[in-house]
Amino acid sequence: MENSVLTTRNNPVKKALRHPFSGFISIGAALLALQIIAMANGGKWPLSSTLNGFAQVMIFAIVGYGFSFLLGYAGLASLGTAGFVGLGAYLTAYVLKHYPGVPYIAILLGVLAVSLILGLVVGFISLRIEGIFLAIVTLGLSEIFYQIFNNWIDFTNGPNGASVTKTPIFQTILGMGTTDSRRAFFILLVVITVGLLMLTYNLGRSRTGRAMLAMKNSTSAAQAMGISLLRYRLLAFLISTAYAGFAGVLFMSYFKYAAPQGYTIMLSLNILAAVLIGGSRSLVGTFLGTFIVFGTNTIFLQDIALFRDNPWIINVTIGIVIILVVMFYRGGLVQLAQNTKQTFNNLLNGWRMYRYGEDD
Amino acid sequence: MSIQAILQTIINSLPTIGRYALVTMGIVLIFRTTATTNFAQGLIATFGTFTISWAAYTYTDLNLWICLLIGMAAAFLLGMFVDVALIRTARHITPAGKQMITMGVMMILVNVIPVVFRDITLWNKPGKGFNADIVSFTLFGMPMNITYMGLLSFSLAVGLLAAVFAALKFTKWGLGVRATAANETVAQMLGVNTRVITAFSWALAGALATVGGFFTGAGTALNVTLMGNTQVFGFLACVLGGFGSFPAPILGAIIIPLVYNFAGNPALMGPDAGMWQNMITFIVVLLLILIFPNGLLGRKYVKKV
Repeated sequence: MENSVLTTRNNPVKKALRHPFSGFISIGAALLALQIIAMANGGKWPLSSTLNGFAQVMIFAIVGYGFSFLLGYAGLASLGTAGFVGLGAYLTAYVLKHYPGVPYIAILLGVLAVSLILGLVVGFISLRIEGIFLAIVTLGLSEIFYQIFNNWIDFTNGPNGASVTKTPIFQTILGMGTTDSRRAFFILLVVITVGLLMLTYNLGRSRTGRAMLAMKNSTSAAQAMGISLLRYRLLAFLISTAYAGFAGVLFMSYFKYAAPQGYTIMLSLNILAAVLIGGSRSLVGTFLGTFIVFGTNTIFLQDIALFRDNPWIINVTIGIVIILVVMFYRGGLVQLAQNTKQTFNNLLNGWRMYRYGEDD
Repeated sequence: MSIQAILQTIINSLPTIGRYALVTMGIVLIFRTTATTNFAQGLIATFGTFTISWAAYTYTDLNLWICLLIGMAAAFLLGMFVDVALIRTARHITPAGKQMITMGVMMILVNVIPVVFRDITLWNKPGKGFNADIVSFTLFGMPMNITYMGLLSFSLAVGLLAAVFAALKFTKWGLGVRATAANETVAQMLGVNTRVITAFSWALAGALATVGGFFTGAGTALNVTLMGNTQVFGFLACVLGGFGSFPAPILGAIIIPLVYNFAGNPALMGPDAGMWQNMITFIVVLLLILIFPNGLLGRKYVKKV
């Protein structure tokens, strides 16, 4: 008996499965498999609309990872997220349309630079304004972004929305067709998602992540321990805005369209909901939360007439779930999974005790 | 700008000041009694406004002012329900958590209102109760204009707010609110029924905001985003004035419409002013908040470890 326990512990496969990266990689593998199946049977199943739904989940999950730094580690609730995603999307559209020669990586770096500068500004605001008031101030900030998207016609094409004609890299340089390039970009998205999951996981366990966690629990105590509030708060905002801007670039490259109505406070609230529902400190949880908030409607429920005709049902459910999670289950879905596992183990042990009698 | 134009711009701001002040008063009542920044305030008001229109449509011979009372009653009950069902249960959750609960309420209402009031698209049947007259008068010998509805909105807001402030100062309920705002636990120990106090504050906040919604929607088409701007500006007014006292946020609610109307003045800001007036207002207000993070009339909050 004891021997078998030891072998399980040393079993390299089980050891690898315990590693958190295996979860990230299996998410990536599942998404990749969907795309490969679609390619193999010529798009009969899963439908391209389903794949687009998953692409949307992946893109907004990236925003969620950044936001979970802010909320889960630094404890700051910001409602300006949507603005930064929109900014990334619109900048990409503008550069691709007016300066077609600019390489994609330069656009990416440019958007990151702009996001970082603006993140710095918001970060400094957060140093002046504490806690719940920050949500209100960032709400004002997101309104400013909306006004820019809606009114600066030369930059954003106003209420009609901005669009891109060709998928960057795959269509412009490699010369693929529309469908092929979208598939190729989907695969790129999967790679980016898994890569960012790993990066974010390590970042969260690094010195930076731990310092932010200390700051969340008590700013004064963290300061007393020698953690610079200025440095780590700014860093949390920089990470979150950079992720949001990056997601905006990816959104524009995949969906090729952005309208101001897509970047209102509702998007910020949805991302907040996704992070809360999944569990604000778990990345797999954030991904699952994003899937529930952004994915269920487009991926599964479109086939059911009741939900297709009444899209409000799912949104109201999300609202109710937010309230329930905040009131009764702060850990979110991840906590639910852990508790279920715990209960199951307890039951199993109880049964073992009953079946085989107690040890010694 | 001539002095007359400046005075006229100030007078043009009065209706907006009235509406914002009503919403802001509700937000600050809720914040002081339950430490919740209520993101659903604007949508509770929208619910009330839709109820007014529903009543006016369904019972065509009913006076519009009776409909207003029905709408206020609906928002009163909704506000009370949110407190009793959610915020009271979540009493021991952090303020940020309560804020997220109200965001959840906001998400529910924003989706439910268009479904419940599917047939209501206009504020009211044309002609009934809406008065498009413009009132002219002279101030310091200069001719001034204000719309009849605007004048009504401002005077009603002043009247209602005066009543609320008087109630806060002189009634037993007002004493209870002030005690709860100072320290809920101690107020409870001294025999204040804080449950009734908070529930009534939420209810009153809903009813006051509905009056704001009624005048915001006056004579236009109704949709669920009716109070979006008012909600955001109401919050900013609270932060700008300072959340620490009851009158301070009203100062914020007076400043913001003035900034808004001066920013939208073509003589001052150029021909495209109307397009950017929202944005300029947000920027000015955010800058003011950055300069005075505790509010214009606020005190510095000293935190204990």
